[in-house]
This record gives sequence, structure tokens and C-alpha cells, in this order.
Amino acid sequence: MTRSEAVRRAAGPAEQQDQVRRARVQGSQVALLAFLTLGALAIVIPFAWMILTAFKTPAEAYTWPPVWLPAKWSLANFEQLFATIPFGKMFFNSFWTSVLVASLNIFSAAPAAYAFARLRFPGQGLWFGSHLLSLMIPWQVTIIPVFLLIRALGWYDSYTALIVPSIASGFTVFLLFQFFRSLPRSLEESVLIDGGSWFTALRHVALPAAKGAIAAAWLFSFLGNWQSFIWPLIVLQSSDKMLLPVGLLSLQNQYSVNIPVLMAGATLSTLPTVIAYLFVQRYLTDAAITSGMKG
Amino acid sequence: MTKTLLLLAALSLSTAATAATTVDYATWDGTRQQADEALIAAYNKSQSEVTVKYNLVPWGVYWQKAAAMTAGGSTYDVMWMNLDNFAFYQSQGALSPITLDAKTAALLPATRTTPYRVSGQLYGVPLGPQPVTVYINRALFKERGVPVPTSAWTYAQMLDAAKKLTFVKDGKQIYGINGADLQADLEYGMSFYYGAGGQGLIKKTGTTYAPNLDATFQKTSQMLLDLIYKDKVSPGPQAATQQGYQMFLAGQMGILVQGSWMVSTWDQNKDLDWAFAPFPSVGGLKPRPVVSAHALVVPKGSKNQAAAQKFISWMNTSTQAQRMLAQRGLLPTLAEQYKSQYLSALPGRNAQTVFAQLPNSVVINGSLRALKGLPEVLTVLNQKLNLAWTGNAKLQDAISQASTEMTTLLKQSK
Repeated sequence: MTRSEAVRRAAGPAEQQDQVRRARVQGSQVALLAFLTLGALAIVIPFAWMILTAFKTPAEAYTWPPVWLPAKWSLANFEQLFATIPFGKMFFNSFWTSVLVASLNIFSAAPAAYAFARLRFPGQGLWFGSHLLSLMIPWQVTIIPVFLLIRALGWYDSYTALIVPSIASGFTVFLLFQFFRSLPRSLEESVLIDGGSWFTALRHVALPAAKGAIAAAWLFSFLGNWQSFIWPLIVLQSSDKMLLPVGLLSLQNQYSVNIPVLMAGATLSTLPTVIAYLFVQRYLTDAAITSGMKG
Repeated sequence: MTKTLLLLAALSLSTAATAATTVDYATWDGTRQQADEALIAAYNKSQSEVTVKYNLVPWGVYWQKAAAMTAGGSTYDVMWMNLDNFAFYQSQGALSPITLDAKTAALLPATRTTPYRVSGQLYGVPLGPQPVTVYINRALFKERGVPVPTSAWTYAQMLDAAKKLTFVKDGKQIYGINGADLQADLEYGMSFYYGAGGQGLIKKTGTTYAPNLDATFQKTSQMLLDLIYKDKVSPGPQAATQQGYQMFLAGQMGILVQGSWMVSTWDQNKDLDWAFAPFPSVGGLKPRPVVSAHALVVPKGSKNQAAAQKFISWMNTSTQAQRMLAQRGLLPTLAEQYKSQYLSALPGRNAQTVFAQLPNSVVINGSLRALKGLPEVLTVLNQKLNLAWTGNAKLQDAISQASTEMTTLLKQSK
């Protein structure tokens, strides 16, 4: 008889059950940890590969079997990146348009979401439904009609064409609607009893309370615009107005792609998103829970 | 007051008169970016009426953007066009005919301009030939004791070299040649097919068309497929984790059949000891490698037609543009006249072999471009041969099936 068996036999039935339960919990925790580790690796490895490749020579990047670390760390690919495309200009274009669109998005979506969450007005269901419907129509379907409209308005090859159609977002309205609906009404009622308007309630009560949701919605919108590819490609023509995702793709030619330079560009282009995420990650989780958007 | 108004009017008129027309030029070819930008800068400096703007649109989305712009009526003024897409855009009425003066037109090589002629009108001017060429890694040749080919090479000699160049070095597999890229219906593979005496994949008899996957095609296909599965000198689909040019860049491939446009790509690896090799002859016949003829076209939606045509003419025939292209290792439209500049740009690379093969080179399916439904017919052939190249079908079966399906499609084509 082994020692553990002796201990188990010596223990009473309740204690035995407790031990079994603890062993099960530990086992499931180990399995969960292993699963999460695998998931984390699946996300981290491509990132690590991208960053490491940005410092490799082409020979190292293309060799098989692959090598993880560059023999000599070099910034040559970053230098070539800036020499090949106007990376700084494209980065700046992407940054300011994404910040502006995300901010205007919140500016337009917050009152709409609050109205849908709190007010009752004729055709409310229809209006809200139309917002939700906009989430269900694939953008490929609307791209040519919107392009024709943009051209008719004389906005082609201008930032207006890029920004204006992106200001209204059904997704942001829905996200904030979910949050405003979860706010206790008593908060706003005190404002209304004191003679304040719904707009005052929105400005002084709902919006400050929704900081987290707004930060999350802003980040989603920022990321969406930062990664935006097809629409800028279609409506912008001038190279000096072009955004980063399109610029990075231009490093790929018909027959070849300079992978180390592309990875250098990809590494730099992920920086704003990583920094933005680090700032608002707490809000993101909160918003996901309160708005029912998780999973 | 009146004087002031008159002065302002005169000023505005003079501004309008001197304001340069802006011509938007679009291309997908980033390998020519530096040369294109230098050419445009030179053109803009050479005159004051037109300012050309360079727009690089990635290959992956070039045609989507072109289609959207054409549909929306906002187009570039000058576009880089390939033959595969030319027929579609021309047949849709999306391109303007290009009128060149007789002297300029006479200078252009007929072999490459003919595919861009429809009903006697020219719709595109090919900017220089882009021939399929053979590159070799001289360091590997020397290491394995294989003679470096300089002026003539046979297919048998190339195969022998590829066998010797296939070996394992420091735990890394080195391959002789990029056989996976040599599918017989595509430009690299067809370069061998034409060299073996092939007359074209589709035959025209009277007003009808029929597939021509004859003995020459079958033999060439088998010979190229054998590089992967019989001779084992090339990575197959299972072994190929990197593309052929990437293996060549990494020093893991001895012979690479690719286009002359790859020259700037080799600059990525300064240690790569590359050179051109003569295109191998098949069965004692003179090599006939494929030459691509990408052209400059003027979309019908362009609002600056005259300025666009003037720019195209300058790019293709002016001494300045031709010289600048050659000096950057790119073949200009009038290649033979600028041979010395081209050779000087690529010293020690055996670039004269590129010139040697040019007179005998052929535009792929050049005589069939007007055939309706050609892309669909070629897609069928491509899909069937791809099954053989990836080891999922026997070559004979693939060719037989392709022939049957092509016949059906060609019966519907005119």
C-alpha cells in the first residue's frame, strides 16, 4: 500500500469527497491554463515573428528551415521602408483621420443612443431597426452606390469622402444604447425634476457615467478606421492622401514582396493600436460586460 | 475700380493660361517605382504645361479600384495595363484610342503593339519589353563545380546542372530549379513550349477556334513536370514552403526562371551572386521565351486625353526616357538602341543574353487577344494543369479533360 493510499483510507468519506473535488478543480484549472497558454501563444507567436522578421536580412527571412533570431540586429528594413513609401505621411494621415472619425462617431452616436434608450417617440422602433439593419448589410453591397454619391457631391479624392460616410455608425449607437439602458433612471430623474432637459441629463449625468463605454466605442471606431482599407483605396486617388494600410500593401508587387520591409511597416503600424489598447483595456472589458457585447 | 477689376480679370486669365494640367498616372508595379518617379520628375521638368502625378496602387487591389473608378466615371489619366485585362477594358469601351504621329508609331516594335490594336486602332503602347529570363546563383554553380552558362545552354544541360545543384547544405535543402512555377500554360512554362516549336494553345481554322494541346505541348508539359516528380530537382507543392524567388533570394535555389522585372528584387540581398543565363534551347531549336508587353493606356474617363497621350509618347520614344530606363536596368521600348546603357547598368550580370533572346521572343497568346471568352478558356486549362502540377491528377488526364472543356467553351466563342 502506498503512502497516499494509506492517507486516503485513513480519511473519512467527507474528507475523501473534498479531496476528489479539489483534485478535479486543480485538474480543470491546469487544463484551462494550458488552453489559455495555447491561445496566448497563437496570438503572440505571429506578433513575435513579425517583429523579429523586421530585423532580419531577406536571406534570413526566406531561409528554410526558418530561423527565429536575426544573426545581426539591423534597422536596414526600417530605413528601406521609409525610403520606399512615404510612411510618415501615411501614418499621420491614418492617425488624424482615425482620431477625427472616432470622435465624430461618438459625437453623433451618443445623443442617438441616449434618445433610443430613454425617449419614446413615433417610429422609434423603425428608426432603431434601421440602425441595426445597417449592421447587417455587407459593405460590399453599398460601396458602388456610395462611391457614385461621393462623386456626385464632388468629394472624390478628398478626406471629406473618407470621413463623412464613417461618422454615423449603427454599431456605436447600439453599443452606447446598451449601456445607457443599463443606467438607473433615478440618476437622470433628479435632473428632470430640477427642471433640467433630457439634453442636460445626457450631458451632466449619462455621458460622465458612460465614460467607459464611450472609451470602448471610441477605440472600436478608431481601430476600424485605422485598419480601413477598401474605402480609402476607392475614394482617395492622390498618393499624398493615402492611408497606411493601402501604403503597406503597395510593398507587395505582382510577383514578389519584400517581407522584412513589410514586417517593419506592420510592426510600426501596430504601435498606435497597442498603445491605445493599453490605455483603455479596462474600459473595454467593462463595456463588453455592461453592453452585452462580450463573446 | 474698373481698372482694378480689369487687372484682376487679366490676372485670373493669365493664371488659368499658365496653370499646368495634372495627369494622374497609375501603376501597380512597385519594382519600377524609382524609375517611374525619376521619369515623371524629368518629364515635369522638361515642360511646363503638364504635371504628371505618380500613383502606386497595390497589385492586389489594382483591378478592383480600376473597375470601381471606371464604373463611377472617375479614372486616372494614364494607366499601366496588362494583356490579360486589356481585352475586357477595351471591349467595355473603357479605353480611348491612342493617336501617335506616324514617325513615333513607326518606331514601336510591331510584335508588342499588335495585341493592343483593335480594328486598326491602337489602345495601348507597351512600355518596353519584359521578357522571361533565366537567373542563376553563380556561387552555387561554382560550389558544385557546374560550368556557368554564358552564351548558349540546352535544356539537357540545364537539367544536368539542376541535378548537381540539388543537395543538402548545412541542414538546408538546396534545389536546382523552380519547377513549381513552370506550369506549362503560364508564361514561364510557355517559354519552353514556344521554344520547343509550339504554335499556340488555341488554333484558328476559318472562323472557328479549337484547342491545340498537341504533342509538343504534352511533351513540354511532361518535361517540366518531371523536374518536380521524376528528376526531383525542384520543390513540389508539398515541399515548397517558400516561393521560388524567395528560395533564390535566400541562396537556396540554383536556377530560377522568372521575368526581367525581378532585377530590382535581387538588390534586397547584396550577397547574392546572381547572373542572367541564356534561355535553354529545346530539341535543338532556337529559344523563344515569352515577352510581356505591359502597356500605357488612356481610360475613356480621362479629362486630359491630349496631355495623357503626349506623356505616353514621351515615355515610349523620347531619348531622355529611354536612356533613363536603360540606366536603371529596365529595358526601354526601343531596347536595341539603348543596349549599352542597359549593359552598363548591370555590369557582370551577363545581361547581353537578354538582348540575344529578344528578337526571337513571343507575346503569349498574342494572336488570340480579340477572342471573346479567352480568359475563361485559359482558366479551364490552368485549373486542369494545376491539378497535375500539385500531384492531384495525371498529366495526360488533365490535358485530355482541359481539351474537352476548352472545345466546349471555344464553340461558344467568336
